[in-house]
Amino acid sequence: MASPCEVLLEGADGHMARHLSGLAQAEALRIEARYSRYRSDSLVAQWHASQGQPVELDGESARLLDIAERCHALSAGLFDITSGVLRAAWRFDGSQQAPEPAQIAALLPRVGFDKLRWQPPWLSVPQGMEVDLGGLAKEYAVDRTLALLRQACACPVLVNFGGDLAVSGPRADGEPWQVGIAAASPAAAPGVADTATTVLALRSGALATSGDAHRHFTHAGRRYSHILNPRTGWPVEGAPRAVTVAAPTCTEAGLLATLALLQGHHAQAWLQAQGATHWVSEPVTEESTTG
Amino acid sequence: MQLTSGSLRAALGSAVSALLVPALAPAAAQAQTQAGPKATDAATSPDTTTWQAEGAVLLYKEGAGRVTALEPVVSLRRVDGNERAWGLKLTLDALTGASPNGAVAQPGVQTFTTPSGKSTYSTPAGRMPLDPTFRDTRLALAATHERPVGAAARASFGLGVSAEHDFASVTASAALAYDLAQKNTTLSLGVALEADRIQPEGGVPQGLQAAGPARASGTATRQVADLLLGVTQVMNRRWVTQLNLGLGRGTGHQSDPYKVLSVVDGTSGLLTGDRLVHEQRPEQRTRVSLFWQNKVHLTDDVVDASYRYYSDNWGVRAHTLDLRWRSELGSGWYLEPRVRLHRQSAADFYRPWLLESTEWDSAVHRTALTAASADPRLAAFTGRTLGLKLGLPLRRGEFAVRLEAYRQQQRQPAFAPGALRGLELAPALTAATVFVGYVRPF
Repeated sequence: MASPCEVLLEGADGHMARHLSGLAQAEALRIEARYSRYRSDSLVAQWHASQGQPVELDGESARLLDIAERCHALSAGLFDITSGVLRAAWRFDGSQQAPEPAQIAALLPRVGFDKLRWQPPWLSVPQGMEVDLGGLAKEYAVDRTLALLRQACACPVLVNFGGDLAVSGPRADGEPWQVGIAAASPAAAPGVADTATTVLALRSGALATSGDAHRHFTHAGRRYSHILNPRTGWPVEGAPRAVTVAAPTCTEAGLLATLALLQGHHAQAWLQAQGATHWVSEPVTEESTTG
Repeated sequence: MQLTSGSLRAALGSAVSALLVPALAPAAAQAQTQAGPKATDAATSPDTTTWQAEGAVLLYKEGAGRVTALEPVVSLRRVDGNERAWGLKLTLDALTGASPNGAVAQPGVQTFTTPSGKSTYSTPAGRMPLDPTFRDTRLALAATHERPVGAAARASFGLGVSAEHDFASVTASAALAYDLAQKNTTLSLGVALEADRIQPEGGVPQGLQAAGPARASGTATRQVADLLLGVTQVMNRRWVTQLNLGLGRGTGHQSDPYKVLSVVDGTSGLLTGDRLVHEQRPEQRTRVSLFWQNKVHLTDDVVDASYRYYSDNWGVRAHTLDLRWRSELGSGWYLEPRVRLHRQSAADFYRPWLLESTEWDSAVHRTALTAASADPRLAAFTGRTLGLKLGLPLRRGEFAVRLEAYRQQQRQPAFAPGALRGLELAPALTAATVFVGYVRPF
């Protein structure tokens, strides 16, 4: 998962705690082994190696492809799990180096969900294209892990994989879980005020956060987030540094947060229009020094 | 966005429900979806049962050719998702070596007949007589069950059987532990019952009778009932203390069928008259014990200090102090040194020997005493144990090794008559214990 994962339990004895954390770890590792783009032995790697031939997907992978397709349609093409190849052109380390337009142009033909042939349960990934489930897998893992733990124990439980979390219900005394959202403030960024940690009271459902202040790109005085527009190949402009959304499930919260960031400047307005409970960190407007 | 705000959320919610259906989407998701599929229960609940297996071997060896015991133990424990536990333990005890038969040392060689009457054994001059035919294998099976009772209590039950060639035992126990004050206080009440059947080689001898071929019935029985009251209290974040009161009552045949007493002359100290007499212990034993244990958690280490006071109506009073210091060495390794001190007083009827005429009349083969035993375990003695335990964590489970050295000292009996004065009548007992154990969850 590439982030610290924790499970909080209330009222369980040491034996149950060890058992539940074992279940959580097993589920997280299972999903990572199947869908991580960094693993050469994952299912995703097998799809890429199929050289355009149809691959039969199992039930779980098919459901993930289904929801990726649905979000692609709901976002008018902005949410696209094939946009991962554009990573090759962009280095999000705050540098000012923009890629050559030719670089982007060379990669764009390899981007586009419509280019995949998805006829459940058969998936064909054309040669050169990549499927990246990173925007889904972690939140999905949180929901799956929570469901497994709820079946194993009736005690109040909170599953937190690197900031994407879900709870089984309120705590034992009926009180909500106290969750703090720390807005990271990069030390080197000028004009940025340290935003205070917001503490949320969560009684049920889930939270997901999208966005990372360190992974941004600055060009010609403008700040771009690390979310790439699959149609232009360029990062989305003007998105807030981070968006946290609350929803009944972590997957839904994560998708809403990602879809919001894809709206760029309009992220907050979009979230308000959806009626989604959300918290947005202040987008930093950097004064252009060159005018 | 082509879709209106409300319908996008609904569409998203229903799409997520479809994704999570096999993982039981939370009920709240259904409120959001309008036409989404209903989250159904998983076809089968995942198995949340955990198991733990434990295997251990204990080797106990006394000095001077006395008892050697080898005890392998295997146990299995199963805990299910409802905090109900079942346990099964199999113990094998193989005993060999020699054990004191109760007779006193003499300046000359002594010859004894084995309890079965089939052979004899000799004791060298000046040495404490030991029966070298002390050989037995014991098999014991114990089953336990624990379950929560309501929200604040836990019940535990136990059933056990034990058998060796001349002794069989059945035990049953039940206990209830009740939590108060957010589990900072636990009250416990327990009952244990034991029924034993003794079928010694050569039959059950009549106590305080001259040792000879005539025997009474072949079997005898004994019953023990114990009551335990306890309170465990968390004193602070680092200190837990426990106080237990035990009351026990044993009835039936309490005497050891293999033990005798020597009849010696009050002046010379030599065997005389009937020479050997079977021991006799009272048919009833009532005991009280008070046990106080403390566990203190230092920065990483844990100190376990306990004291036990024991008293019974046979006149035995004992104090036991046990100190353990578990020193965490890092990465799950630990070293635990241990010191145990035990001191007890003799039973009222303990006699290292019987004096002819005053304590035993060989002419009429009788005594005025109602009970007499020379078993060194009923004498006054002090015992010191020094031990060291090493724990090693494994990828799955834990491995432990324990070494202990024990030394028991008994004061030389006072007023030893005649020749006995120059003999070592109460030699110190030394013993070493090696324990190796392995615990593995699966």
